Amino acid sequence: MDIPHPPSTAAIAGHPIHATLVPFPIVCFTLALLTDIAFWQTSNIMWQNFSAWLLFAGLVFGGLAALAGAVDFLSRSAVRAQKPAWPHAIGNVIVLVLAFVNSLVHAGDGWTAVVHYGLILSAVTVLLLFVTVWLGRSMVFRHGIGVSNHA
Amino acid sequence: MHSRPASLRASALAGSCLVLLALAGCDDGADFDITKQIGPDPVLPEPNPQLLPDMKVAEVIGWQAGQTPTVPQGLAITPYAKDLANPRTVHTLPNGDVLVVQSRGPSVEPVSRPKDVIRGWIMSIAHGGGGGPQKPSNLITLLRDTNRDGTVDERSDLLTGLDSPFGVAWVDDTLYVAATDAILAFPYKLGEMKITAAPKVLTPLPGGPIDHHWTKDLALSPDGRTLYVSVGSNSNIVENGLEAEKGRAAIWQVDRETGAARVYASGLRNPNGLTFQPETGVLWAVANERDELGPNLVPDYMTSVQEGAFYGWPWSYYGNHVDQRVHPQRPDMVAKAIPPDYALSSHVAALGLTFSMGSALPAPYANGAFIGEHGSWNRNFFNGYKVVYVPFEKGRPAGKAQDVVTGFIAGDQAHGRPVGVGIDGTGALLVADDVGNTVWRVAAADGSVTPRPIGTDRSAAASAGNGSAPATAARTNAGAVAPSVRQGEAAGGPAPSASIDERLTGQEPAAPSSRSAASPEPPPMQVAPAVLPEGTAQGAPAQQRQ
Repeated sequence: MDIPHPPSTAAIAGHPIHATLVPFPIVCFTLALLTDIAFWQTSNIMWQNFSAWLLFAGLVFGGLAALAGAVDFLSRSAVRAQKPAWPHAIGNVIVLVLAFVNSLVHAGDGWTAVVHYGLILSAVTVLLLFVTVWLGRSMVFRHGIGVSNHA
Repeated sequence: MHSRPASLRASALAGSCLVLLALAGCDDGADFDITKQIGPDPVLPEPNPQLLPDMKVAEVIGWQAGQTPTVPQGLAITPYAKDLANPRTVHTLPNGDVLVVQSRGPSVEPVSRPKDVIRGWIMSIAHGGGGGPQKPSNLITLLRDTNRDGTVDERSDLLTGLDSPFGVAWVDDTLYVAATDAILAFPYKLGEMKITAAPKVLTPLPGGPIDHHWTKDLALSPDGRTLYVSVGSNSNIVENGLEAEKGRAAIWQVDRETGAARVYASGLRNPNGLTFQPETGVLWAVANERDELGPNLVPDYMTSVQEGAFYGWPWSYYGNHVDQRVHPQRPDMVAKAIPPDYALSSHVAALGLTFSMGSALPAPYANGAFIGEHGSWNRNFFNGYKVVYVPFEKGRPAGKAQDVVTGFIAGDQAHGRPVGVGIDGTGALLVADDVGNTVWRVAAADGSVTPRPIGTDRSAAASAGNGSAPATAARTNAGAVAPSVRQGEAAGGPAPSASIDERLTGQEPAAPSSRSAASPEPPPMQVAPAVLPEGTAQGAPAQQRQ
C-alpha cells in the first residue's frame, strides 16, 4: 500500500487513546442491558444497582473516548474524509445522550426505574452501539485510521 | 460557601429538560392548589415522576441576633435556648424541666448507586454545617425555668455521647431514651441535673447499617405501662430491598417491664411525633410519605394510630393508591391498607406533633394539634418550613391547618427548620429548630401561664408510678418464628441471614413450617415490612393472641 494511513492526533506513543477507551462504554452499556434484563426477570434490586453503575462508568469512559475521538476527527481532514466517520461520530453522540437519559431513568427508585423505559433505553442504546462500533471498526480495519505505517 | 447559589436545582443538567420532555414531562406542579391536600380527604393527582426529580433545598444561614420566626397576633416568640447542637425534640418532665434532645443522623448509609453521591452532596447544604468543625451533638440538655417566667435559669447537659437519640419518656424514676438502635433506660429522679449511671437496654431497635430514617420517637401510654416507639423505613420505597425493612415503617408497642416488643401498626413510612391525644387517650402520629412521584405526591399526614392497622407503605398510599415502583405488587396488602386521618400536603416533612389542650395559649389554640414541618426538598416551591395548628373537636381534627410559627424561610435561604414541638412547664409552645440550633418559645402575648407544669407524657403513672406487670408482659421474644417464606420470596433474594435476629433473640430461626394455631408472634425485627403477625385482627384483645 502506498497511501499512508491517517494518523491519530490523540495518541500516546502511536497508540490512539480513542481506541484504548472505547471498549469501556461498549462493554458497560452491553452489560447494563443484561443486568436490566436480570432485574426485569428477578425483581432483585442488586441488578438495578449494577445497571446504574454500569451506565455511570460507561458514560465517564465514553465521554473521555468521545473527547479523544473528537480530537482525531477535528484535527485531521483525512479522518473526516473517511465515509463512516460522520455517521460514527453522530451515532456515538446519540448513544451517549441515550445512556445519559437512561441514567436518569435508572436513578429512580424501584421497579419503574427499569421496567419498561430503562430496559427499552438500554436495548436501543446497545442496538445503536452495534452500528456505530461496526462503523468504527471499519475505519480502523479497512481504512487504517491510527494504524502505524511500516512502509 | 458564601457565594454558593442559595438554591440548587438538581444540577447543570437542566438543559436536558427538552430531551426529557418526551419521556416524562417537566411539569413542576406550580399551578396546583396545595390547600386541596390539607384535610381528611386530600386531592391526589396522578403520579408525575420526573427524570430529574426536583431538588430545591434552602441554604442554611442561621439567625442573627434579634431575629426570630414570626407568630400571629396574640402570641409572642422568644428564644428559649440558643447555641444548641441540632435540637430535634423537646420533652417536658412533670416538674416543668425541659429536655432538649440534640442529635445527628448516624451517617451509616452505604453508597449503593451514583445517585446517592450526588444527592448526599445536595442534602448536606440543607442541613447546614458545611464549613468548619461542628459542635458535638447526640446529647440531651436539661433546661430549668426556676421561677416560671418563660426564661431558662439553669442549663445542664444531662446525657452526652448517645447514638442519634430522638424520643424520650419518663416514668417511675426512669428516663427512657430512644437512640437510633435501642430504647435505653436510665435511672433518673426528677430534679437531677446529670446522669452518670449506665443505661439498661430495654429493647433493641433496627439501626444500621443503612438506617435511612433514623429518628425513633417515643411515647408513654396514659396508664404508664407501655412505650410506643416509631421506626421509620430504611428507604424511600424499598430500593434497599425488602430484607432491609424488617421491623420498619411501623410503630412498635414495647412493654416497659420486660422490653418485649411487637408491631402495633405498620405501613407508616416515617412516623414521628407520637403523642396521646389528651381527650381520648388515642395515640396520634405524623408521618412522612414517599418521594419522587412528583411535587404534589404523596401528602404527609397526621393520623390516629389504630392497633393492628396497616397504612399502605410500601405497596400503596392513602388506602388503595398503588405505587407502581414496588414489585412484585401485593394486592392483598393494598386491600388491607387504610387511609390516614388528616393530610398535611406534600413534602412538608412533618416531624413533630403535640396537643395544645391544657396549655396557657390563647383561646384560638385551646384544643388542637401543633405540627412541626421541617420543610420540603422534592419540589420546586418550598412547602412546610413552619409550625401549623389543626383545631380538634371531640378528639378529631375539625378544620383547616393554620400557620402559627413562620418566617423560617427568607427567599431561598433558611434561618432555621422546625422539628419537634412540645408544651413547656408554663404552658407555652416550644419548637426545636435543628439547623437554627435554637429552641423557640411561643407564649400567649399577655404572659399567662398554667397554674402548674404538665409533663409531656400526661400519664398518671408518670407522677405516681405503677409497677404492676402489664398484660403484654407474658408475650416475650422467646419462641420466635421466622417470618413466612412468602415474605422472603417477595424480597426476591436468597433466604436472609439470620445473624441479627439470632443475636437479638438467641434463637435459631425456626423452620417456616412451624406455623401453627398456637404460633406466637415473631419479634418485630423478624417481621418483614408491613406484615402483621398472623392472627392479628383489628380490635382483638391482645391477650387472646398468645
